[in-house]
Amino acid sequence: MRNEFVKVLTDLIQLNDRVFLMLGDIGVHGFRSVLSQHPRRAVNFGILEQSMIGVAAGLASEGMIPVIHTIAPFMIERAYEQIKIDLGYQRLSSNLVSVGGSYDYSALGPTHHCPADVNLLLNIQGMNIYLPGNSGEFSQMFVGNYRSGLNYYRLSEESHSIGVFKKGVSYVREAPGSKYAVLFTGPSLRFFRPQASVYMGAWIIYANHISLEERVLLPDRVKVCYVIQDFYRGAFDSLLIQANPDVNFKILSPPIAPLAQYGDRVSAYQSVGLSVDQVEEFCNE
Amino acid sequence: MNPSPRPIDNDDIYRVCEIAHQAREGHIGSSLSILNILNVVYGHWVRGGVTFILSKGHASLGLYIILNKYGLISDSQLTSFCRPDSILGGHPDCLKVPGIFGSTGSLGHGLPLAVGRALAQRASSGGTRIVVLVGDGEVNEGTHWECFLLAAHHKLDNLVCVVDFNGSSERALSVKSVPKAVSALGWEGREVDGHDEAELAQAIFAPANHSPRLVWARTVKGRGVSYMEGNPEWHHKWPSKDELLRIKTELGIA
Repeated sequence: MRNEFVKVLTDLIQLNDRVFLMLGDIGVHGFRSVLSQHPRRAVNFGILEQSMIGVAAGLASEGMIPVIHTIAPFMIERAYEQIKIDLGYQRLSSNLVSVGGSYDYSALGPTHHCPADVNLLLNIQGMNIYLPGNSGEFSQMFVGNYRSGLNYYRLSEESHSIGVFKKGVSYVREAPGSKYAVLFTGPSLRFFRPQASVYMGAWIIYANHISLEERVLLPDRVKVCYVIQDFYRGAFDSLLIQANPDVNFKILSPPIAPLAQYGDRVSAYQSVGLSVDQVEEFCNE
Repeated sequence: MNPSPRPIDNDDIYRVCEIAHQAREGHIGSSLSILNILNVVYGHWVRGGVTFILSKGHASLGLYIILNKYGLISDSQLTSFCRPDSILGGHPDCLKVPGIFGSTGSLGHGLPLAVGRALAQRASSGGTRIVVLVGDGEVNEGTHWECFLLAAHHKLDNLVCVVDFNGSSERALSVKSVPKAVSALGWEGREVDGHDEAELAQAIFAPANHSPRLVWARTVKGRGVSYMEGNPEWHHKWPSKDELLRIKTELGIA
């Protein structure tokens, strides 16, 4: 997805002279030609995330379209107040593009993890949270929405290959009349094995966009819904429960605790219950 | 809009106190220390080519007095300060109030906003000068130091940061060394009497000189009311009826 981000931005900054790329000293090699070709609208700001968000608000106030890129915990948790006040309260448009959430920097320890970003951002009115499941979805979402609104694109090193779904809610597999549904969020769809018997006869639902304004209504007759999300519980699942009060939700999400282990990404997600086998086992209960 | 307002006088000072008394709200000390700075900046703003951000948003009452002087808000709006349905709160809201270009309150947010506006002006080849007024205590905030580095690195000569040096930070963290430190980073530094409008105008609006400019404005907190001057008790306090009468007498208001 990061390569796709570079590709998309390389085109957009050429086409739209209001696009302003802001790097937090990451992605500099990937964006090297953009930085050299557009020195006034593509800037490596260095390591000052709080100011970078405030600066983005200033740019947006003057009509620019900021695209801010850095590692999720530093952009969202460190600069949360700036996102809330400078962008949220002032209703300014910006694009926050993170990497690293939730455990993509698995070996670097919990300072670089960010499973709390979705919960935090859902407290900000007007926030659009995009969870692209693969490069195609990112490209489609970004190009279609970057011009306005307060947008958070959560880039992951992991992706699914089930298909390229539109922004919002999609039915991966329909099961009219079924009482059961499994809802995967963004790249979590990689844990879906279509041929697994546990999913037979169940709705398979996919969500790659979250906002306070979007109500995810489950199909009629669904009484039990398993939700698979690779970020903390508490916000998206609350919206689901509010929108579908008669449905019994079972949420699979990381425990609220720093991840104690290092190792590769697969084992990191596995350690919080997220792998193909663990998800199937969870849905089989 | 009134392009030629009168200079700051005792009526303005009394009005700050009177409105704070009526609303039982307001940061009088800071509002009085910045009246001259605001009068100079808005005097230029009405002629165009300037965007201003009050970063020390708690001094909003001072800002509202100036907006009223320039006809941007009405008398009835001014006297509605901090009422539930007022557009004028204890901190300024740019979505509600004309002539305000940044919603502030939490300290350390105005300078990054100003840097962003300055970068946008540069990117679009605009000629607007961005002026931001920050408090001396606010200079403690890390975002200021991030932006001191950032603005110097990008040689933002369309940016002017005015510091209201009213001494309020000295009891916690001295900022007296800031002008020297910021100059060392590459800013142009100027130090002025923050109540001398001619000096202020010269310092803030002199031609740009290839670097961002820091204007260190020496002011008196609570200026104009003898028993408020330099008295930290009046940071966030409003006068009683008796105190207001005393102020009226001292200022010679009819």
